[in-house]
This record gives sequence, C-alpha cells and structure tokens, in this order.
Amino acid sequence: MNKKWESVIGLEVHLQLKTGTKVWCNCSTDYDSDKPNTHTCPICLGHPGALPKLNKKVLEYAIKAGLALNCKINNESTFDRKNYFYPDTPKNYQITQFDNSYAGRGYLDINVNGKEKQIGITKIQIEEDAGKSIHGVKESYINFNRASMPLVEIISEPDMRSSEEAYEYLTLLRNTLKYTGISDVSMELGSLRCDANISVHHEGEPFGTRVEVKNLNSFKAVARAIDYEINRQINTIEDGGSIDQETRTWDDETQITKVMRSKEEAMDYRYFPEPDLLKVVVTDEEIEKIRETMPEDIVAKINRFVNDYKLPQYDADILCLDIELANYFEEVVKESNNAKTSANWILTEVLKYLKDNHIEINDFPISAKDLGKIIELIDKNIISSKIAKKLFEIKLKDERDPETIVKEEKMAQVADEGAIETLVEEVLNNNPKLIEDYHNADEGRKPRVLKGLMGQCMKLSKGKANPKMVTDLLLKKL
Amino acid sequence: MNNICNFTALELRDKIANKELSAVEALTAVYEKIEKTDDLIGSFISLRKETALKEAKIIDEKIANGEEVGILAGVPVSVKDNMVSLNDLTTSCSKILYNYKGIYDATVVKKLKEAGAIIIGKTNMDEFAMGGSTKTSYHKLTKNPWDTSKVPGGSSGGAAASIAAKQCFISLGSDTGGSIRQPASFCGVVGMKPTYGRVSRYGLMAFGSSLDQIGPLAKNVSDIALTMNVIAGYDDYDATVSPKEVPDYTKSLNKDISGMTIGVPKEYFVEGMDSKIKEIMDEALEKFKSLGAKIVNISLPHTKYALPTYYVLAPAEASSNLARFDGIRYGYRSPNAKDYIDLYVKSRSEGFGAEVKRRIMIGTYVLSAGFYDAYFKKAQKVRALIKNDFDKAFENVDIIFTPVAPSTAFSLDAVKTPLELYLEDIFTLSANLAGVPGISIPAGIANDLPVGIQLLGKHFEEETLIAAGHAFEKIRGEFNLPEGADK
Repeated sequence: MNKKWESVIGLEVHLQLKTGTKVWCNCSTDYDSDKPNTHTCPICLGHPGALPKLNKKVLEYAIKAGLALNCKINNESTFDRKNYFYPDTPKNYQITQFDNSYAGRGYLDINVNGKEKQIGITKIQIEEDAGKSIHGVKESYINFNRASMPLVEIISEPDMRSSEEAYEYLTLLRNTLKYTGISDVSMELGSLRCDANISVHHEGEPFGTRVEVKNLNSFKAVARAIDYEINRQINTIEDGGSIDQETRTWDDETQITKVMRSKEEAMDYRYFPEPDLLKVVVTDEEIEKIRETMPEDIVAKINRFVNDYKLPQYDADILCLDIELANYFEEVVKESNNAKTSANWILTEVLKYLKDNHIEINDFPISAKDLGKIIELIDKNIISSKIAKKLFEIKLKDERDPETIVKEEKMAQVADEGAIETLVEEVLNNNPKLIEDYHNADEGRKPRVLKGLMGQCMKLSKGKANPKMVTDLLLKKL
Repeated sequence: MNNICNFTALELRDKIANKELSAVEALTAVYEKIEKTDDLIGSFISLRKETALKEAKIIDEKIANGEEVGILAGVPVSVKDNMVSLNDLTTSCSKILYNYKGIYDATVVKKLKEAGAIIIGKTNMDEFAMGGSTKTSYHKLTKNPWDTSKVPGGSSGGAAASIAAKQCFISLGSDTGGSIRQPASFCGVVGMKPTYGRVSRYGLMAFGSSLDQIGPLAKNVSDIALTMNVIAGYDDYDATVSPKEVPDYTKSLNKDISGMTIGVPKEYFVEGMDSKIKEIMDEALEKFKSLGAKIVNISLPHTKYALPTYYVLAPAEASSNLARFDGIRYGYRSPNAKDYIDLYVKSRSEGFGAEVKRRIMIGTYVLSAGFYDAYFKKAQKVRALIKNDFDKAFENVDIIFTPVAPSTAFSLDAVKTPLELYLEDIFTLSANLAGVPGISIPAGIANDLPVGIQLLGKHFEEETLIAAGHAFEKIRGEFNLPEGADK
C-alpha cells in the first residue's frame, strides 16, 4: 500500500477544418445558423450510387495541422471504412484513415509549473464527421448539415500524468492550431472535441486497464473528468475491485463519469480499405510549399518576442495567444520603436477595449500605426502619459491622425521656458502661504509641499506643462 | 415497324440524322415492341414513355433546325435498374428501394442524355446485381427470348433480354463478376465489361466497389464501340475513374488483326465442359486463325483461386456498401419497429432478399476483427497474384480467349444451390479481380441456345477487343436474334 499511484492519460482530439466545402463533396461547411438539411447533396446524404472524392483543400489544411504539431507528413496514405450503424451516419460507415494515416509521429512541448515536458503525438488522420440527432419527445430528427464535415483526429501518446498536463497539452494544442487558421478551434462551437483515455498503475509496474471517457465539452470538463476517473480507479482498486475496459461518458451536471459501453458491447468496426478512394500521394515539394504558407510556430514566436523585443515572458505569452494580436503588436513597435511601452498599452488599454466591446483585434478602431505614433509622442515628450490616455480615447472615435489631433486640440506639452516661467510665477504669486509652508517644513515634508505646488502648475496648464521643467523652475524660484 | 427494331444502333442513328426516320418514330416502334413482348419476356421494371417522347421530339426539332446533336441522337437505350436517373424509379430490383426515385443522374446516364440517346426505361436484374439468373429480382422474372423456359442470365438479364428481344438498341449493364458478359452470352448479344476505371461508377448502386464496372450490351461490336465513345472517360465525381484520354473506338472496327496473338489459357478448358460448347470454342479459334491471328497456349495458374477470392471480396464490399439501406432516409421502412435498432433490423430483414442477406452475412463475417486476416486480407493477396497472372500473360499475348460460361442458359425451374450458381461465374470473374476489359460475343448455337466467346484484353485496351471482336463477327456472319417473343 505504500507504493505510489501514477495515472496515465492520452487524448484523442477531433478538429473540424474550416475548408469552406465538405470533405467529399462541394456542400458548404458554414451550416451552423442555417436550417437543418440545407447543406446536403446525394454524396453527403449517402444516397445510392454516390461516391466520395477527396477535397484537395482538406488535405492542405490537414497537412498544416500536421506541420504545426511537428508531425511527419507521409508521402502516401490511404482511407479505410469504419463500419457501424447509427442513424446520423448516412452511409453507416465512416471514411477514416486507419492503417496508413497522412501524418505520423509528432509532439508538443508543454510547460507545467515551470517544468518542460514533451507530449508525443502518435498520428493524425483525416476523416468525416457525422450528422446530428435531435431527440424530441416521441420522434427523433436528424440534421445532416454536419455530415461529411472534414475532421482531423489527433491522437496523443499516453504521455500525460495528471489533469494539469492534459489541460496544458490541450491548451497548447488549441493555441498552436488556432495559429494556423484552419479551424475555429472552439470546444463551445464544437469544432474542437476531445476524448480522454485514462488508466492508473503503481509506479514501476505495467500500465493499468484503460477507460475511455467521452462527451467532454469544455477544457474544464476534461480536467475534472480526468481527476474524477483517476480517483475512481484508485479507489476501486484499493477497495479490492478491478477496472473494466469500457467507455464512459462525462456527466456535466453531476460531475461524474458513467458507463456507456462495456468491452463486451464494444463495436467490431470491420475496418477495410475504402475502395472508392485512391491512395493519397503528396510529394515533399508539395509539403514544403504548404509549410511556406504557414505562420511562425507559436513557441518560436514567443521566444523571439522575449529575445528580440526583451519582453517579459508573461507579456510574450499573452501577445502570442492570438496571432492577429501578435501581428498588431509588431506593427505598433515598428512605429513606436518602444517594445515594452507598446506591449503595456496593448495588454492594458487595447485588451480592455476588446473585452468590453466583444470584438477581435482586427476590428479595433485604432490602427497599429496610429497607436505606435501615440507611444512615440510620449517618448518624444510631446505629450505626457496622461494626455496620451486622453488622445487614445479620442482616437477610438476619431479619424484624424494622432499628430493632427494633438495639434488641433492643443494637447502638446508646453516646453517653452518662458511660458513655463510665467506659469510658475503665477502659481507662486497666488500661493504665498504655500511658499511659507515650504520654507518652514522639515526635509521630510518638503517634497509633499512641492508636489502640491507642482499640481497647481499642472492644473493651470491643463496638464500640458512639461513636468520636469516645472519642477526645476519651482525649485529654482523657491 | 418491326423493321425499325431490327436496325442496329449505328444504322438507326444514321437514319435519324439523315431524316429518313424520326426519333419519335423510332421510339414509338420501340414502345410498341415492348408492349407486344414484355408481358412474356419481362425485360423492363419501369418505363418513362412520356418523358422519353418529349426528349425524342426535341431531338427531331434540333435535327430539323440543323442544330448539332450528339452521336446517339434519337437512339432508344435501356438502363439497368441499379443506375440512378433523375426522377425515375431506381430500385436495384430490391424491396428495400421499391419506391426510390433518383435525385440525380448517374454519370453514364448524364452522358447518354448529352449524346442525345433516349432512355426508355429500367431493366430487370438480380437484386443489387447479386446472381446469375435475374431470378433474385424483387419485381419479376425475366425470360430468355430464345427460349422462355430458360433464364436470361444475370445479373444484367433484363438488359441482355431487352437487346435480344429487340426492345431497344443499346442497353447499359453492370459487371461485378460477369454480370454483363454471361447474360450477353445466354441471350446471344454482345456485352462488354470495360477496364476498371474506364467508365465512371458515379450513380451506379455499388455492389463490390473495386470490381463493379458499367458497360454496354448491343446487337454487335460496332454498337458497343459507338456506346463506349459516349460513356468512357474521366469524371470529376468518381475518384477511381482514369483521366486517360478516350480513343475513338469506332476507329478500331475493320482493323486487320492478322499477326495478333491470342492466348488460350489451359485452366479454362477443363474436362466436363459441354461438348457442344467446346466445339463452338474450337471453331471460333479456327476462325481467328483464318484471320491471321496466332493462337498460343498459356497458363493463368491462380485461376482456381479466383472463385473463392471473389466470394470473399465481393460480399465484403457489398456488406459495407449495402449498409446505407437502413430505412432511415429513403426506401422501405418497416412499419413494425419499436426503436431505432429494431427499425434497422426489421427494415433490412423485410427489405432484402435471401441472396443479398446471404452475401451480407458472408461479408460481415470475413471482415470481422477475428477473421479479417484469415479471409479478407488473404483474399486481397490472392487477388494480387491473379492480377499478376494476367500481367505476365499479356507480356506475350494481345488478347486472351475463353468461353463465357460453362453452360448455355439453364432452365428457369432449375434448382441450384448457391454454390452451383456461383460456379456460373467461374470464367468471367477473374477479369473483374484483375480489372481487365472483357467482351462476350455470340459464336454459335448449342442446344438451340446461343453460346458466346469471351475475349479479355490488357488494361485500357478495349480497342484491341473491339478490333478482334468485329473481325470475328464479320467472319462468323449474321447472328439472327429470335423472332419468337413477338407472338
């Protein structure tokens, strides 16, 4: 009983590809808000005589997924039929890749509590999605709009040892794939779906019996289901029981897993090579061509932001979560030449605006160039940070470029010595008590009195006076 | 009007194009013939007379206006009931599709229509093309126009009978293990199974996807060549169809075949063959010799494994292909089901016939996880060996000569075990396993019934078969189709 328990987790992730048209036919993949069965044809409805033909774009997108996950892209792959009866499966078989998938071994490097770990990807395969059953009280309905949506299934090695690792893997997987632009990569929208394989064993002993958990519809559900299953399995064994090889389903309401199918009920899918489709052949040149169109790898990008822009890891991580945001940042820096200040502005003001208004960076009203200019104006002491915030607010609704606004709205700092002297003198003349106060104050209190005078000066200048010049002059006059 | 029905497709096409005859006249003659004969013969499952007449009228108008028309303009054509055509009943002669109407045109149908052919109706067949007698059809029996107590062969029995009874000029059949060539032989007409991948299967209700091929049946080889010009070639809807350019097959007619090497595989001439059939085969070979062809003995050593291989692979694919017929989206749905599993079980139990169920069971068995390696995988390996036999043989010969079937058309009442029926395909199914083209041409009469020879060719060399077949036809002389069906 003293031996330590270890859990083993592998994930199977299904990703819907946003290719515009389905995997075997020309039906549109943008079906979500449309009426049921409007995006269908004889092919995706499995009508007699209809044959599949592989959509070239699906292969291209699938290869992008493979490259993003460091997989080996196979020059030759084949399709198989997976036979099973289900009402939302029009042909009663699913076309998938079983023996020879298009993408082999890959990996992702995750970071949990500061520790790096590599999670292996066994393979990725192209396959088709099924339709959707909708169950009424007495009848059931089927919507085939999703039938034959292109999917890739990403199968990980059983390399994860905790729900935290699984969560990190899934997060990095999503972020990495989001980068490639091939999918919405959203569990909420159903474009990313995950099943977990979980087993427990004593360290140093062979792996335990594995249980598959389905119906995980959020990242949190994945983590919770894994934790629940690890506990359940350990408790079962410690109570003298054993783990059955079965498929379980996660119940989000009760937060437990329940038996869906036992090993005895396991399906015999009767896989065999799909005779209606030819072998898929891709040359190394074609793979390289696709690689050239890929955005920079997310991890490489984060490292570059840290090294080249000297950004803190935290800033780089957040900026790189969204490729468009990262691009925006780089555009801002080009103008501002100040990476840290640019990052600060984006991570605070810009992100706040996006969040409050529920928009993406592409719809943000201030162009990267204009935001860069605002930051440049601060660095050149033309405006103060405080005025810059005001300028930012105006710019959200104003077409004029920042310099014009500063000029026309007379927002520039006053840095003219004569003007500031006049200003300082006016404040000193109006506040003889404060001057007296200053001279009587001990060294500890003096700066506070000075700050008060300073505040008067800034107020009088409507925030535009150069603060350093004001301080210098005040000290001189006092 | 009988006169019109005696024409070949080519003759009719020319007469319509020359305005000697209108498409409407030809079509009217054909429907009259069907009306007179089909109660007895039973070639047709469904007819589309009204639509066909409208189409014929349009062809006539076009010709009258001097507009360009296709190479089959006005020619009445029948199509096997497993090829989908828009708005027409297409049932594969199964109860499970008794009410199914096509929601699109199969590529071959589309091509026929574009070539101006007039599709007159759907022909009877064995249910889902499984059988060699057309007796497994859900709808009715088809009888051999030469002797109505005999089967027309199968599964394209309706197609072959429709040509033999002169009910149309061209008929499309499908051939998975001999289903065009065997009924062609039994009915005394010409039937060609093209190379796998030469004709699009889009819209053909699949039986064994890796074996199925659509092909023409007609009165003679010239009409076969003419039809191949229309139906062969690339199709964006079938990944397995070849992009190879389609030659003008009619150019191969009248080609000199002297110097051609014809291989005769010893495995196809075994003890126990009907002596009359053997005689006809020998005579045919003599005729080829007299045409200057060189006859050589060859061996296809894996021939004896073709039958078991075929009867593992074809049912395996069929079991999967037929899974879509489940009562959910179209076709027959059992009214007695309690839940969705019950709906599957009852719809399929009530909807499929015995032979189809038998093959689904065999196919499901050979694909199941525990038996896959022993049966399906093994069969695939043997298939490669059989294909290799042909590749090797074709290094030395231009075509291979064999009988089409071990016997002439058998009696409609004959009680045969499934295995005896499977043996009917023994000479034809190797070509499907190897994917090579084959043609069946009438060569003589035995026991008052026609007997065909089979010529097999290299991949995509239908032209050689057409050249040899046409040369043979010329030296054979007229092969008159029976008149009996009219009575």
